[in-house]
Amino acid sequence: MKMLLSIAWRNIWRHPGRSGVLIASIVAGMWAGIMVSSWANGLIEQRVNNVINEELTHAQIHHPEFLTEREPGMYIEPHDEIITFLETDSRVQSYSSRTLLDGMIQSAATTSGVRIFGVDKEMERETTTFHQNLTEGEYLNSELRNPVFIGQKLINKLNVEIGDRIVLTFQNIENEITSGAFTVSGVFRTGQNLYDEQTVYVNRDDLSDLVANRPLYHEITIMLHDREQGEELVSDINEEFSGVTAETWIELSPEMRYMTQASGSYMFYIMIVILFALAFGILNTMTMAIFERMRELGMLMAIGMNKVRVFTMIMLESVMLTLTGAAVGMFVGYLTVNYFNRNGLDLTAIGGDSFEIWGYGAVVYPYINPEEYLYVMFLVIATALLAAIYPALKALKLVPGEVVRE
Amino acid sequence: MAWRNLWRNKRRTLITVSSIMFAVVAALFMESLGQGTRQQLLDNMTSFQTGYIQIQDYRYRDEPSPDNAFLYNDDLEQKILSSHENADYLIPRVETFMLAAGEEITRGAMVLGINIEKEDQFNQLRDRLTEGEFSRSGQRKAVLGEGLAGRLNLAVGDTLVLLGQGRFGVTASGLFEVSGLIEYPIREMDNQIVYLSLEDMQWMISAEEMVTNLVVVPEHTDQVNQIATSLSQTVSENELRVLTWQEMMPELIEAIEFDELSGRIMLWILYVVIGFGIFGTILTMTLERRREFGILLSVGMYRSKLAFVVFIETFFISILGVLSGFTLGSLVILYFYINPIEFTGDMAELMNDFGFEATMEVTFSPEIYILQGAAIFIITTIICLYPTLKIARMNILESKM
Repeated sequence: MKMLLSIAWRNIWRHPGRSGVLIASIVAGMWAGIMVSSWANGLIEQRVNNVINEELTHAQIHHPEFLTEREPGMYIEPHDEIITFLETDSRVQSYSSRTLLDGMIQSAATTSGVRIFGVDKEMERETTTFHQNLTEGEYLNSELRNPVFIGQKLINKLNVEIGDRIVLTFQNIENEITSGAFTVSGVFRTGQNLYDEQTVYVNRDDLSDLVANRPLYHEITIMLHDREQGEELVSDINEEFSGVTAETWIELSPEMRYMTQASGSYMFYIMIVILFALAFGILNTMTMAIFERMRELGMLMAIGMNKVRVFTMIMLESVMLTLTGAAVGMFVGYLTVNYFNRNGLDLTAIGGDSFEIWGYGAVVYPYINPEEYLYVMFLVIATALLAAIYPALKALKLVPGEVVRE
Repeated sequence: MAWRNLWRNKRRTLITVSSIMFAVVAALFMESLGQGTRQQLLDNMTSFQTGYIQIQDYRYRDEPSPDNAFLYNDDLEQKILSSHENADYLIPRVETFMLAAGEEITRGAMVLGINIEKEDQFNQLRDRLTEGEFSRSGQRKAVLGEGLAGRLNLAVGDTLVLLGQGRFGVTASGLFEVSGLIEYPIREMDNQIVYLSLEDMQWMISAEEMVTNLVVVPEHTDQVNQIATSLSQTVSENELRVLTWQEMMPELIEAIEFDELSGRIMLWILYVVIGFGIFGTILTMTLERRREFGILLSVGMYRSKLAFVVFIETFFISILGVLSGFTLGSLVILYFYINPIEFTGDMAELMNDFGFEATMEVTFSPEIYILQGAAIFIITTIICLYPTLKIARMNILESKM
């Protein structure tokens, strides 16, 4: 065995060109695998983070039926107790309480359906990055009476400008129709058209005065220091308080689950295609190499090396080539991912134009977990070795006499 | 000579050809899958919402109110369909925002006046019904999103009140019997959609024979832009405007472009892997034939000529490889075209919720063949410069050893 090992090792370096190119293919395969996984990770991460940071946050608390019914009367009763709880919990980074209503928005030109977010400007700013979507005017100008922050698409539809009056109409908690005049203070654009067409932000106190004449909260959104602690916190809150339901972002957004999963399965098939290409590259090069080495192998067999040993020798060569290639590939992949992770891969450089799609930004930061390195390495090594079996078997079929004579 | 060389060592040629062939298959499959998924997304989204082409009053886009509806009658329908054979059929819609109320509760609602037969033909709207039926026109009946019905506390048989603005400031209101419930996967839609028959809707907002949107369904989706251009000439005298899905859903274009870009990056990664695979075979081939080349050179063949012969050889090999790749690739794509990849588990459930088929489709497109064939051919040709250069710099004495 030891002898076989050293023969195999020497065989590899007897043909540095050929071995080099085999190693290079494996390096390429390994690199490709790492790139694909890290790219997929980067995309998903960016999408998820965008939505979380902008509005969804890590966890939310509502009246148990609020999300399906959205009745103004379904507010969070133990609001103050929950706030005390959140204030003292070390996992919580920040939180914001919101008053939410569905209603209609009216200008001189037209009427449209709208979702009204009543927020505390300061708390919201600490918790979400929504204020960064401002394109014109001011977020919620405190000098105006009843300021409203409105989506780009909606302001076009209503045909109004900053400083104009609009009327919001909704039901109060006694189910009576209530209206209030608001002044347009600023315009936002999120990249999601539907959202920009159907959402307005107002001051929480302005809104709760109209709805109930007292503070009223339908939603508490929470940002954590560590996203992974979401489930823990949520179950703690659900145990501690009755009459409310806390949920993590995964439970809150089925669309997001769809997006992450769809992207994941597409990448899975791409990985298969790449491994397939890798396998055939190796298979062909190895087969070619075996034919070239017919004479040499025939000679070895003629002087008494048995078939099992020949097979083992060739497989050992493949194992060594593969391991070398995998190691180098991992290193190259690590360097590439690291580079792009630090600098980001700017899609506008490749595709031009703005890419604020579905919450994707233009710059993607690929990254990869240690276990994914292992996973890719395992796949590449398995593929390479499987591809080496056929050529090695081919070598067994040699008839020593014939080959040597040629 | 090059041609004969190929068949002198069949095995070697076959291996090289097959390495190119598999490269072509991989590239073809990857692109077909990518384009298939994008097409599927587009089909899903357009059938869900706007359709591929719509005709609207030219003011409607800036100010979507019933004031900007337009006259739609048999004359217009005839005019459009007779001048455009590749337009399959037309779907008239009236769309406006109103207040919907049950016994106690009032909500904002998106009210759509539709021709159910045509809608159903277009996007199988009836399949989304969870209870009841769409009624015939003139019966004053409505179908509600389940979410909205739940909020208004309405069930099939109850009465729905609609209140809003009709044409030119006229107050529009009506009582409708709930005849069915429908389920929409998008919560926002489910919570605010009301369907009426087209005639009931036109009556309510005092807009007889008027529509706000007219969806034009093309026979084939690749004719969209062509139809749109000629349509705008046909209807321009009526102060109408033709919009394609690109204009109506710009975020979808962005999504598709993004996906395309992501696919292109994947494709480049694949090219790297393919490139090394092919390079491996060609290099081994060159090494193997060093002796042969040395002899040819030493019996007096010009280097340039030999290099040229080898180049021609690899050229033939590339062509054979690409062509056989097309054949095998077509078989693979055809297989997946007939049996699309099916999702399972969580993913399948999610897609069903959205009303999409839980499959991943591939597409057949000559463009992909030309592009990917050319790409692999160019990669191979660049790689094949290697043996040519090798010959140019070969040391005759060493090589014969």
